[in-house]
Amino acid sequence: MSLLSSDLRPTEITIVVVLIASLILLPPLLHLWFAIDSPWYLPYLVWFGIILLSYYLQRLLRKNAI
Amino acid sequence: MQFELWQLFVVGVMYLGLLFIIATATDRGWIPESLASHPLVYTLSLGVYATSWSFYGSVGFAQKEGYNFLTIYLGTTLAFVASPILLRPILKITETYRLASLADLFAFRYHSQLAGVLVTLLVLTGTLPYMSLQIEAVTHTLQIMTNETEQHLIALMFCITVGLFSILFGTRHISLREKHRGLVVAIAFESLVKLITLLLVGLFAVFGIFGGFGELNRYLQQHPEANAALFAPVTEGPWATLMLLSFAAAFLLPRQFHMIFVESIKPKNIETASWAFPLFLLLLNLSIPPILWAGQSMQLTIPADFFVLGITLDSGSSVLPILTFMGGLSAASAMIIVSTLALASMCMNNFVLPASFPPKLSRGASMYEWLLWGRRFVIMSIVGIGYLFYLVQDQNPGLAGLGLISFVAVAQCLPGVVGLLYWPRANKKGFIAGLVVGATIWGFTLFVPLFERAGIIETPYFTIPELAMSTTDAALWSLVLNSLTFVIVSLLSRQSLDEREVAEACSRESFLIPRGEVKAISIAEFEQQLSSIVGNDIAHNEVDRAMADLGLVPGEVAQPVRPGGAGTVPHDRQRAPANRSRNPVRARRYYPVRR
Repeated sequence: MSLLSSDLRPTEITIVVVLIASLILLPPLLHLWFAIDSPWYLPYLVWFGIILLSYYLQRLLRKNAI
Repeated sequence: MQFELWQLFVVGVMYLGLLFIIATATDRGWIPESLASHPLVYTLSLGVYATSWSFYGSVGFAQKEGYNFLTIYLGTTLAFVASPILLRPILKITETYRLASLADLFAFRYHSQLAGVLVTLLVLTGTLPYMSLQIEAVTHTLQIMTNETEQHLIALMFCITVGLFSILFGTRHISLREKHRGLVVAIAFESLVKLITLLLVGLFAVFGIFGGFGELNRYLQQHPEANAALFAPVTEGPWATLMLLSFAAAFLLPRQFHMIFVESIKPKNIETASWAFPLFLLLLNLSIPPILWAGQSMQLTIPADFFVLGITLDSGSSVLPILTFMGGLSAASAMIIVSTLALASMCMNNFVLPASFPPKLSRGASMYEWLLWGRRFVIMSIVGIGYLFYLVQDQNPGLAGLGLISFVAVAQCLPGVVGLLYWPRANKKGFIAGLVVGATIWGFTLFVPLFERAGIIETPYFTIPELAMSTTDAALWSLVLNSLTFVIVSLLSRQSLDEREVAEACSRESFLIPRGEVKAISIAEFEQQLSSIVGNDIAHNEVDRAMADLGLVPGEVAQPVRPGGAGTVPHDRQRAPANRSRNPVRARRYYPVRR
């Protein structure tokens, strides 16, 4: 199932993805990712998740552009 | 393990020579064009973002500020995630109007030579601490590896060498707007060297120092404070401000602007870079925590900024330290080379040419030669100023501290970018006023105190204790007041007609719906209005041709009807079969048809 509907315009999809990425990276969610007892590689996993989101966004935009 | 200075000097020159050979081979077509314009090569060339601050300084930054050091890359990641609404529109504007630098972009949008001059001045001044950081990193590395005490002499040798290579790289073409394919491939290569070296050092830290991931985990269990020290500062530190600064730096630093927009060979490459470049940054930073812990476990006496090199010197092999030295040299030299090229272009367009054009040439002298020599002179001058700046920075605030001062300087252009893309009403008076306010705050709170700390200036004007603030506070205040001034002055003043036209043209490249009112709601009305300008026959022919280009059948499309209402048919039914849209989204759009 597609996370974001392809009925959305490319700019709308981009804005949604940027907002999701910002929400993950900015407080208050930081307290979840950066708890002191977290494994050291957790921030990198969160970062990798955002990169996957960006990759997914580009695929979606390319599909819409065809 | 110790090395001789001359050995490292030879290695350094040979490495820079190799970069130059790669650039020349690309320019002469010995390296296939498909490789030079490959999206991954473009992505790697953006790795010039990672300088010796990233290569060496990240470990020191992580020791002081924990995972806050990641903000320098997470903000950049956000800028690239937002590339469809941020980087791509700017790329389109720079491509369409052939703009060669950040200063040109602002001078164009705000229709003001003064805007270009001020941006050049700010960015040039703002880059000096960053350049000094590179010189400091290479000099300190050589000192650690050789025990050489002639610090300033080493720095001078490095600056002369890199200055000469900058000239070799950047002044082979006359046009400032010409693409340097060779430079792109050479910088991509040096990014690969940095990445591989840092990953190798990280692996050495895990397997060579700790003995594997299991042992590393055991070390962290025995020293829980090591892991906690990385996480604790995040919730207390200026995370959001640092993210904002790196978001701006991702595309506003002169070298970034140059590689992303000016050297872009294929505009579509930015699509790949939007995810691949953050991935490159992630891989580059993966080794930082293990290297920090390895240095701490070895109780190295050198500053944490140089743990990357320090741990390799105990490896028992000379290969890893030499590789690390090359990685650091690569990071520093690439930053200086690309920055000086970008800044030289800005200085030529905004200082040298307006002041001295047309040049007074002797008979038979070529104007192009004059331009090339002018650019060579500007490049050497910028490197020279960078060296002088390094000399006065004995009490500098560390690699990350110097880098952040530059980030705050270029971030002053951020409100102008927002105006450029998304606020057509923004005008030159607002932009210039905001920039002056932001730059003044930056100057008095961050730049001038560097000289004060070095004991160079002691006048009461520059030693106002109330103005001493942290880098992040200065960033916040300068940006807030810059933005407010920009908005208020833009609202209170008027745009010229020329400026309004350019503003509309720029915002058309963004996702904003163009302003204005509909003058013709049918093909017939459009044709009628066009015929009043060009005549009936030409208007009719042009409308028919435009419809044929769009795959529409002349005569069918006419009256405006509400989309999806009675009397409409799907757009794809009107298209000629050969032009049928393959895009399901586009195919669902409805266009009015007279029944």
